[in-house]
Amino acid sequence: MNDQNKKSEPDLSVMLGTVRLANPVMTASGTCGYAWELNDFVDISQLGGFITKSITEQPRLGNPPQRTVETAGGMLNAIGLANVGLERFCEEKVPLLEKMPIPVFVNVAGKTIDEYVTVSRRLSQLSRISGLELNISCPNVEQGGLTFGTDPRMVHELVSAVREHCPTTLLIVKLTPNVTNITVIARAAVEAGADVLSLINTFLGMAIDTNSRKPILGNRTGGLSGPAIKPMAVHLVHRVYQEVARDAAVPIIGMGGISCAEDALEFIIAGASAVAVGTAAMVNPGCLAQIVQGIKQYLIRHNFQSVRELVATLA
Amino acid sequence: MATNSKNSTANAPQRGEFTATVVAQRPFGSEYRYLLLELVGRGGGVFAGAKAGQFVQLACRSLEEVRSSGPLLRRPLSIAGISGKDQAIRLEIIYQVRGPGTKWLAQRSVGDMVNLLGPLGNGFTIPKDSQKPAILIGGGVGLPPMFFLADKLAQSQFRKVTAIAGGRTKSHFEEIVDSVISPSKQPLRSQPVLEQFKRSNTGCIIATDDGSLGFHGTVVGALDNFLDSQSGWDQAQLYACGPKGMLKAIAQLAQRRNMDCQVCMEAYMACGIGICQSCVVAVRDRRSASSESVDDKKQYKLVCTNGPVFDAKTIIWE
Repeated sequence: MNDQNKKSEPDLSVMLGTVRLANPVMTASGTCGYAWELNDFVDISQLGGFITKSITEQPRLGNPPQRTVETAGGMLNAIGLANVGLERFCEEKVPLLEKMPIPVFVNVAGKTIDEYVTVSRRLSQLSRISGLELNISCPNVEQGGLTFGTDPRMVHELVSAVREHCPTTLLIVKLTPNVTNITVIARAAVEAGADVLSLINTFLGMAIDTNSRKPILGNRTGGLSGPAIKPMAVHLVHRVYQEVARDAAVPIIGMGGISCAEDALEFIIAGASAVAVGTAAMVNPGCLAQIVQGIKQYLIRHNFQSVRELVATLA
Repeated sequence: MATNSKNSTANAPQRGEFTATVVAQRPFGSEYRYLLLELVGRGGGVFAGAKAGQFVQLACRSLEEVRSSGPLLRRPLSIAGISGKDQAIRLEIIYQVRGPGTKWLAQRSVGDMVNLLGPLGNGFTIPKDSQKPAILIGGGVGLPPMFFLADKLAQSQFRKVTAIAGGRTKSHFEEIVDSVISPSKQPLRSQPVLEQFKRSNTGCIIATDDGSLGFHGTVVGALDNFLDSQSGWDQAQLYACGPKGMLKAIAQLAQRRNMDCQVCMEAYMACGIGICQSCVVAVRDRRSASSESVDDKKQYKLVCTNGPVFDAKTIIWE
């Protein structure tokens, strides 16, 4: 039996629209910087793809500290989309991303539809960037972010506008779980031309210092990530797959609390074509490569020829 | 000193993820614990080059068991000393038990393995001129990097070096470790802070908030007093690590006396390797080429990768 398994390696490659990833494991936006920061701790060529931190048109200082706090099985963050802005991103970060051995996706955020369009148009002209992920779900900024992602009409308008100006760019739309019915938002994004859905962003949360009776985070509230949110994330991926993505044939990038191969497999079985790892990679960058290996071992054990055969196989 | 993000594609990384073995663990004064870790192979080689002021991110749980309980985030801990050679390097950590992570760490025994990332951050910049006097100021949990810095200065032939160590009370510095067995019937005292500085022949002034030992007052008062009463130190390089309020006061003293001062900052950290953008400190820097945010008056720098050591003049003390 062992000899049989050895003769053919399972195919780990997946397709996100027109982009092929060598395996389904990606980094989640905002948790892995601009990639090279991770390279001393994990061989990034082993990953399927990389999603950068959010880029806005103008540089953003971000929120005042304290910006993160650990909670049971997770962490709250309120970074506030701190980034160097479009110009300096193109000057300083893009040359580094061009050397990346794997497909790179840039996360785009903004306060207005015009800003999303401006940033997206500019980035879509860069040949080395495989696609854009529209962040319509950041819980830590006053304008934009979540205010777009919780209103299906706004989602439709925004995604349509970017689609119109970037007709051939792979568009991923990242959804927030902070809504009553995520499938309504998912459908709006798909109808407006999203090629891929990524879900989920963080859950809104808060932590209070009982001595000072003040919020611990400088921004008062933050987004919860980490193992604590995984069951909710798996459920939302399952729902969006069943109610929207399957019929529309739109692939899902599943994320939320993944820290080992088994977590990633849950998302794939629930309907995700690819997965992204965030908080766990920040703590233990080596887990990214371990997750790829773990998925491969699983496919061998369960006689799958390809990881694509496993997608949405929930019994 | 530039951040190493642009150089990190070089063939031999200056940092990495390693497993270390606990070689010793014991109390260090009444408030702290002393942990000695051994790194072999590549980890030893990498840590042999660690600089004073650098830190490690230590996992306070078993990373092998993914479902293990224990704190999610690693704990940033300053390097208090490096010894050994031939890639069997010993790493000293002096830490305070504050929460579940450090409590877990305190329960590790000799032979146990821990996982760490390091050495991280930019260390203190040691001047080329070893004639330049140096004053090392450590308050509370800010002392450990000063032990390592004292070693490094001694190795670089700095002769005129003194330390000022601050704490709340005497028991931080002096403890009766055995009141019964001592043959002289005198209680046996341990002076862990002084002993730690002794290996580099660095003299140490102690300051306690309650006056129970040494100078009665803060390290800032002790430094002022020292500079007023001793000659030949007014051009000394100041190095400081401790709580933010203390660092601010040292920075103001340095400005008043026109002295160079490097401060080693602490901040709430998640990743420790420059990706999560949590551990920001406000700085003024008009030349924004190597930083992450742009603003003429204020910008944020990361304690983990731009620091933890900064020129005190650049910090905006909020």
